[in-house]
Amino acid sequence: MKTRALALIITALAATACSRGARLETPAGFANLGDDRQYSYRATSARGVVLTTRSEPNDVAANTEFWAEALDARLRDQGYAPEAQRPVKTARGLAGTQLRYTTTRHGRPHRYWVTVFATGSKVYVVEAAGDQEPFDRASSAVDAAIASLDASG
Amino acid sequence: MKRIAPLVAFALTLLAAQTGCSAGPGLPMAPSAPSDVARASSPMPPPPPGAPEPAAAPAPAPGGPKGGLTLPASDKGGAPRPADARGAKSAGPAQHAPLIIYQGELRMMADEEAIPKTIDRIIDAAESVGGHLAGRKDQSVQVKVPSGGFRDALAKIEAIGGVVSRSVTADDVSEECHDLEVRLANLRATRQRLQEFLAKAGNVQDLLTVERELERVAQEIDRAEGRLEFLRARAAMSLISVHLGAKPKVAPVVVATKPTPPAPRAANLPIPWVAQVGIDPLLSLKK
Repeated sequence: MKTRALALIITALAATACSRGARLETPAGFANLGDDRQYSYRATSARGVVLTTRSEPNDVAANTEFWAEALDARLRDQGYAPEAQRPVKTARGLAGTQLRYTTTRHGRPHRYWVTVFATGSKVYVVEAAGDQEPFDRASSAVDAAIASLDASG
Repeated sequence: MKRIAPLVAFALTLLAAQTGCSAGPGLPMAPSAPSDVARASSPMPPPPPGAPEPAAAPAPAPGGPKGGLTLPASDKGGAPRPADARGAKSAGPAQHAPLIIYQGELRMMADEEAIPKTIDRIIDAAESVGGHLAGRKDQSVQVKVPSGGFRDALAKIEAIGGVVSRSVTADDVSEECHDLEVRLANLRATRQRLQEFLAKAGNVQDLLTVERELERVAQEIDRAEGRLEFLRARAAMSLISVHLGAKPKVAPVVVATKPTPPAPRAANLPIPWVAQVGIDPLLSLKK
């Protein structure tokens, strides 16, 4: 009995340790920086266009619309200028909402996209940001990367 | 002596009629007396045959005013002027160029600090056509230019720029000058005849009467000469007045931007990761 319980705990710990969270296909011209405590995936271009994902527990069991609205209110409250809001769908069929903003950092215009996907237990947030000019050049690659979201990990 | 007195009286009456002595203590006109001097523009009929021949008017004295007086043979309408016709037969017809007094007025705009420099340039333009400064104030200047260079001067001043309005007046004083010249010639002829009468006057009364009339005629000659000189001088030089105004300062145009609607109130969710979403953590990725 003890042995079975120990095996179960070890298996559960191993599963947790191996959980990679949501990941993207790294676009061409980007470097995969792996994960850290905050993000389950990070990639950057040489010109500083950054792509990240985070996987968070959907403790309040809210849908995508709720999370999109909550994030939008918060970001606008912080001075982000909304540009667009549009529905997106990943290649695996996961539906989400993309919020696009502009903001200024270090005197330069920046773009900031937040794409939210909510499932019953998880909230996946894909963030992309960078200087406006290199971001615009990489925007289609960013779009493709978001569509490649793999939330099975 | 008794024979000369009526002659003097008749002559003075005649002269008074000729000089049109509306001013001054002239002698009464004799309405029936034939006149060989006419100021009207309509031609006078020739005197009837057998009428007494009045004294012919002599030509203007050579020592007259500068420029001499030349009587035109006809006025603008082409009607012959019979003034002193018989006395001036040998003088022949003479044509006068029209005497026109031109005046120009310009209103210009210039930067406030550039107004003195603009006035200097206007004076330079006038001097370049032989003109000169006639007056200057803080924001206006008057220049006189030879009438022949009036258009050139005006064009040069306008070329400086900033002209907002212009007006040119042309006052034709040809007729007034012509009338003055005729009047002057008649007055001189009268003076000549009075001097002749003076030489023949036999008694003191006649002498005084002729002297008084001579003085009146001399005053009229002075007045006519003065007026004529004035008109000629005015016509020779044209006056251009320029008024300068300061350009209004251009205020920067402020384009009203559409105000961004206020952000909706964000729910204060007890979920820590929501507060971490934003561009700043992304732009400072750490390994």
